[in-house]
Amino acid sequence: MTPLLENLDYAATVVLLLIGLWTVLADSNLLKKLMGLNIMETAVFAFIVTSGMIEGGAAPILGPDAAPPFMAPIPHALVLTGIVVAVSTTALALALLLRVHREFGTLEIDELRKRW
Amino acid sequence: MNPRLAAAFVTGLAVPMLAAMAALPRHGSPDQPIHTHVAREYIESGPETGNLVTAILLDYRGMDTFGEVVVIFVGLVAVLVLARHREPALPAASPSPIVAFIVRLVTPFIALFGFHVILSGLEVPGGGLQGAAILGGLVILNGFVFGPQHARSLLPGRLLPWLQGAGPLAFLAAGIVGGIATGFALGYPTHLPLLHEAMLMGVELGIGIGGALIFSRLYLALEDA
Amino acid sequence: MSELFDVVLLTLLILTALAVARARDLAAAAILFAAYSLMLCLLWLHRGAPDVALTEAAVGAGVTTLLFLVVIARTSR
Repeated sequence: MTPLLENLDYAATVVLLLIGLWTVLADSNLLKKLMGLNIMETAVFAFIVTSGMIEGGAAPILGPDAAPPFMAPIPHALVLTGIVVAVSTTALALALLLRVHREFGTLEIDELRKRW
Repeated sequence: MNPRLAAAFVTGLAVPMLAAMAALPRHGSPDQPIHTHVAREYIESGPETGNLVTAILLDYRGMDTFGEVVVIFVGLVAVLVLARHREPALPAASPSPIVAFIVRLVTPFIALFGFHVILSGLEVPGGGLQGAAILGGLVILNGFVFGPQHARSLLPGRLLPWLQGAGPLAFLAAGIVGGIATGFALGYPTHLPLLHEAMLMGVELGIGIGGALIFSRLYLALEDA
Repeated sequence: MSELFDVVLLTLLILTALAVARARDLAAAAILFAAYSLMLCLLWLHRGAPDVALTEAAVGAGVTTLLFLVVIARTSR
């Protein structure tokens, strides 16, 4: 159990991912499913940022006052790109949901099955 | 899916995932592979001052950021296609006077901060993507409080189609200029400091303004759908 | 001290995520999602990633939440 306790931060991101997955699977509302998907996304981002962390490190901004060790900057750049793409995919999904609502008048998955 | 079944499935999935997390190198220790290869190389031989994250986004992973601005532009196009049907816009509900006053009060300061974040990204935390999110959020906030018509009036009218594509266009321009100056597409001419700086600033402004307008248009498209 | 801060932050993060998952009211879930994003932003600031924290504060608590609220308002009529 000790290795897991040492990697508590990683374990927390797994819990967040699974909470998001549970929302996607179990909730009957499509908007809630989309929120679950967003939680899964942010859990992955949190995992990547956590992996670039270094004990007692400073933010990767160089200058006269900055002293090593620095956090690994590459995961930060990766996540920054990912967050912005995540917004545009969320907006696309929301536009699709608006279309579904206009066609069927509901976003509840049980109701949608009946009117298919 | 039945919530009980889903909970059982998720709990079952937790076991192998947590086991995998326990097997990873201890987090925060400096001898993980992530710190000993590319990251160390970059910190040691990259730029001497300034924000390494911005430098990586624009230079080391420049192609990746180019792809990303293209992706959000394509996302906007897709949303506009889906939301084509226009219904008469709703009249804006009149906001509470307190909310309206606060939003009017903070709007110019947030706009100033957004541009500051875009332009100072090379030195301090910030950059085009962050500034785009701040400015886009500001326009959406105004639309949310005063109605979409007000948000639309905040955007530039005639230049909008071009400015929406400012991110990819700025990258294309920087790629061509860099290609002429260094022989590599998206290469930055470090031997010409002024041109180098101008290219970085141009790309930052393109990402920032283009991204902010794309976020605003995404909101307006959802409002009009 | 720093470890304690980490544990408190991670606990709050998981609690807000659970609150989003459990909320019946959609608007409440969207606001809870904003709170979740701000927790995440604090965590990243603490992890030495100010760039990512800045983006998450503007995107997670601002843009995404407002887009969700717009769609919730338009579909609940």
